[in-house]
Amino acid sequence: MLKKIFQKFQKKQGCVVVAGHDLQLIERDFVILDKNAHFPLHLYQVVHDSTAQKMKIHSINDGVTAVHLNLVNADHLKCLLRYISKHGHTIEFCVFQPSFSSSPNIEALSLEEIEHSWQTTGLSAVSVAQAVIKPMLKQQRGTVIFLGAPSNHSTHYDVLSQSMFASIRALAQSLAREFQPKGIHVSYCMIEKWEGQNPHFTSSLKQVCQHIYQQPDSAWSQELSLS
Amino acid sequence: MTSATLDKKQDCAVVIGVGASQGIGAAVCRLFAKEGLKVYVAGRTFQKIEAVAAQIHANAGEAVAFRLDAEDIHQVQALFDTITSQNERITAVIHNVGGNIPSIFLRSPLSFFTQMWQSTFLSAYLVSQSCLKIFKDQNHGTLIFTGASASLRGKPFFAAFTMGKSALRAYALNLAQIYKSQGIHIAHVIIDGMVDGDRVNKALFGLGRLARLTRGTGGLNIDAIAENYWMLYQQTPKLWTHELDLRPYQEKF
Repeated sequence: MLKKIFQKFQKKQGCVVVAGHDLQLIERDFVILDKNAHFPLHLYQVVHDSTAQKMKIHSINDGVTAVHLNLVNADHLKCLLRYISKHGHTIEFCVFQPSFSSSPNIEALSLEEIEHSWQTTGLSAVSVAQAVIKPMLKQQRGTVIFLGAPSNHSTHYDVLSQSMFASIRALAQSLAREFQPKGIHVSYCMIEKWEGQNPHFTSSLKQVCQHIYQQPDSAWSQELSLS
Repeated sequence: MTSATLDKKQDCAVVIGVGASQGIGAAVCRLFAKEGLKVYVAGRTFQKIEAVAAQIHANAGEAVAFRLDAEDIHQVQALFDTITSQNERITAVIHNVGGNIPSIFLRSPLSFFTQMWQSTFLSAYLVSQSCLKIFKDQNHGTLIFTGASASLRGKPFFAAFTMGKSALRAYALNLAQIYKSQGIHIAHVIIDGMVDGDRVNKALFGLGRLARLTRGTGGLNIDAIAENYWMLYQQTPKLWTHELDLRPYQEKF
């Protein structure tokens, strides 16, 4: 009983949720400092697993909690939010990373492959946004960055992927116009070529995310590119 | 009758996503039929497509009503198989599927987003993949996709619609670049405003008409929209338009 009362009045610590695909690559370097640049935010690294039956916590160390769940399962995300709250964290910042995999021959794609592409890009983006924006609204603050890529004439992504990135960009625009007046900063970051294995790339990406997170509300970016 | 005459195939247009008689799809069907093409009037509701085909017949045009769900890969393929099995050449395909439904983002289930994506994007993908095989064999054909303001701008309460329409725009513009060297003209038309048709006029027990009349010049005329589709179809390979935006002259920007 006393423990519960203590937890209720205990000041919660901010955290960043990085959700999506291929996240193992950025785990080591993705340390985001709080708005005053004093302390690192706890990192929840949420990796999509379409076969997951329920949310699984894989490891907790050095300010990082690794989670596997199905991003298009609303119950899994509710479970994640409960876990985050129970552990004394509030979501200050969320970065969504879609699948950057590419299928060059659009004429040879099956219906299942197309639907899978939608689930690992646009639908996952919606699902993550719905989950994190709700608690952010209560706080009247928060930042959401959707990663994506240019939607036309890219040499690095196939036609279907470019279409899916266009849908994420549109989602980001729609959410920015709806939720920015309520204190939620929504931004879309176009990446010319995803290079998760390259430490310089991940370092630059982290730097950009940190900058967007710390932008004053009189000058928020809605869209930027990295190439 | 010469053998050349016997071999000559009849040109036809396929309009997918035809609903009310006072809608973009129906207006395009009527105009293409008036200009001499046989028109396949394809849509979900048989009474509606039958009514459009009947109008065309009444004006001495040729039309076939074809009921289909454009999100079903088998039904889409069946439509094109039916046409190619006859002595007909498809010269134009118009994709006009997907209605605009507003929703509250945080209260909309994921299934709603998937439904909207299927109607706005997946149907276009299925239609294009079926018809492009035919166009490639012919080295000829025009494929036109209907877009919306949401193809360019994401607005609050329209996240699901804008996601599908934006994806469609990117897809159409990329396809246009890939297939133009093969004699295939692909165009994306942005209907940037309210349409003076049944979908708007009959929405919310007639309040839709009021909203249309109080904004700008009263919306986009469906026959004027159809004229633009016909213009795109008539363009020669020397100078093709791949994206065309349409809005009333006094619409607010």
